[in-house]
Amino acid sequence: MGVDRPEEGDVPPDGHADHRDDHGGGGRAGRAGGVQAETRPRQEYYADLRVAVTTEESVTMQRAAAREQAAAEKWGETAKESRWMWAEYQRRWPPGERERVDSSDDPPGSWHGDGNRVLHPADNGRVEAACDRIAEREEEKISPALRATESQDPDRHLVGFDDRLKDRDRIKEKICGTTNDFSRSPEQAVSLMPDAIRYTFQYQEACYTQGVLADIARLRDQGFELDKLKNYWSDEKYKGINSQWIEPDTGQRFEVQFHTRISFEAKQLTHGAYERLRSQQQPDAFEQMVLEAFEKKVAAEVPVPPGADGIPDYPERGADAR
Amino acid sequence: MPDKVTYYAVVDDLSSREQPAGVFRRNYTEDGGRSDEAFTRNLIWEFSPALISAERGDLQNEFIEITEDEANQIVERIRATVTGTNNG
Repeated sequence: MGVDRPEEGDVPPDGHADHRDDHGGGGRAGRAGGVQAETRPRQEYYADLRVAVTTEESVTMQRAAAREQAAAEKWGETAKESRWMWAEYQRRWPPGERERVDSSDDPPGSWHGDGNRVLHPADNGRVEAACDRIAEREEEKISPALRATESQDPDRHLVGFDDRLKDRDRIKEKICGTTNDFSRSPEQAVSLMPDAIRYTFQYQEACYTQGVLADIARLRDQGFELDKLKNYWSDEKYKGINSQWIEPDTGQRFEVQFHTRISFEAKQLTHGAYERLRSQQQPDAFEQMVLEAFEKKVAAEVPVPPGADGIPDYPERGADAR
Repeated sequence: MPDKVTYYAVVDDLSSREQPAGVFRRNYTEDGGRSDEAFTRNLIWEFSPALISAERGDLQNEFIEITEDEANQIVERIRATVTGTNNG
C-alpha cells in the first residue's frame, strides 16, 4: 500500500500543505528544484498540522490576553485617577448647591421635572399608560429574544440587564424635551424614543469586532429590524457602538449598545459629567471646559479593539451629519 | 454675544432633510463656553440638551449642519405652523 501524500490531493483549505515548516518536526525529503516532498502519511500530516495550528492559535491568544492584561492594568490606574478627578470636581461644584424645582403649585396628577419641564395630568396619564405598554413588550418579547441571542456565544454577555427599562422620570424628561423642542405630540415622542428599553453587550477586546457583527446578524435572525447604528470608536468623548432596533409586531424601539469592559466602565465614569452638561441649569464656561476635558481624558485611555472603527454606520451618514 | 454660531436641521424618524422636525443652534462664546438652543414651540430659542445627547449615543435625532439662511427658513416654517398661518 502506497503512502498517501497530502500534496497529491486533499490539500488543506489554504492550499499550502507544506508552508508551516517551523512546526511539526521532520517528515520531509529533498526534491529537485529545492522543493521538499512530504513523506508523512496523510493522517500523521494532518495530526501535525492540527498541533501546529493549535499552537499558533494558542500563541496568538496568549499575546492577545497579554495585551488585554496590560491594557487592563493601565486602565485600572486611569480609572482610579479619574475617580479622584471627579471627586475633586464635585468638591469644587457640589451638586447640592443647584436650585431645586418647586412643584407645590402643580395640579394633582401632573409631573414636574428639572427646570420648566412639566407634563399636565392628561398627558402624564397617557405617558404612564405608554410606559406600561413598553414594560409589557420588554418582558414578553424583547428581553426573551435578547437572552436567547446572548446564549449563542459564551464569550460575551449582557451587562446592566437590571437597568434595561429606562426610569419613568427620565422617559418623561425626554418626552418633554421632544414635545417642546421639536413640536411633537407626547404620543409621537413616546414612539420615537429609542432607549426606553436598552441593552448592552460586553465583549473581550480581541473578539469585539467579529462578536458585534455576529450579534447584529443574530438580532436580525430574531426578526428585529436594525433602524440605526452609529460607531463612536473614533469619537473623542465617548467610545462604543450604539444601535436602534424595532420589534416589528408592535413597532417598539429599543437600543443595543456594544462595549468592551473598559469602554463600558468609561461610560459609567463619565456619566455624571454628561448629566451635568445636559442639565437645564447650565454650567458656566469654565465648568463646561473642566467637564469636557474630563470626558476626553477618560475616553482617550479606552483601547480601541482591532477593527472596531471599521464597522460602518447604518444607514451611512452624510459628512454634514452628527 | 456669541463669537460663532453653528446651525443644524434636526431630523427624526417622522421627518426628513427636506422637512426637518426642528432647528437647532450651538453658540460659542469668547470665554470658551457654549450653549445649545432649539427654536421651540414657544417660538423662542431655548436651551436643549438634544445635541449633547446625540454626541453621547442617543440616536433619536440626526443633526445636519445648515447655513443661517436655511435655519431662518425653518424658523419661519415653525412659526407659521404654530401660529396656524401655514399655507402648506
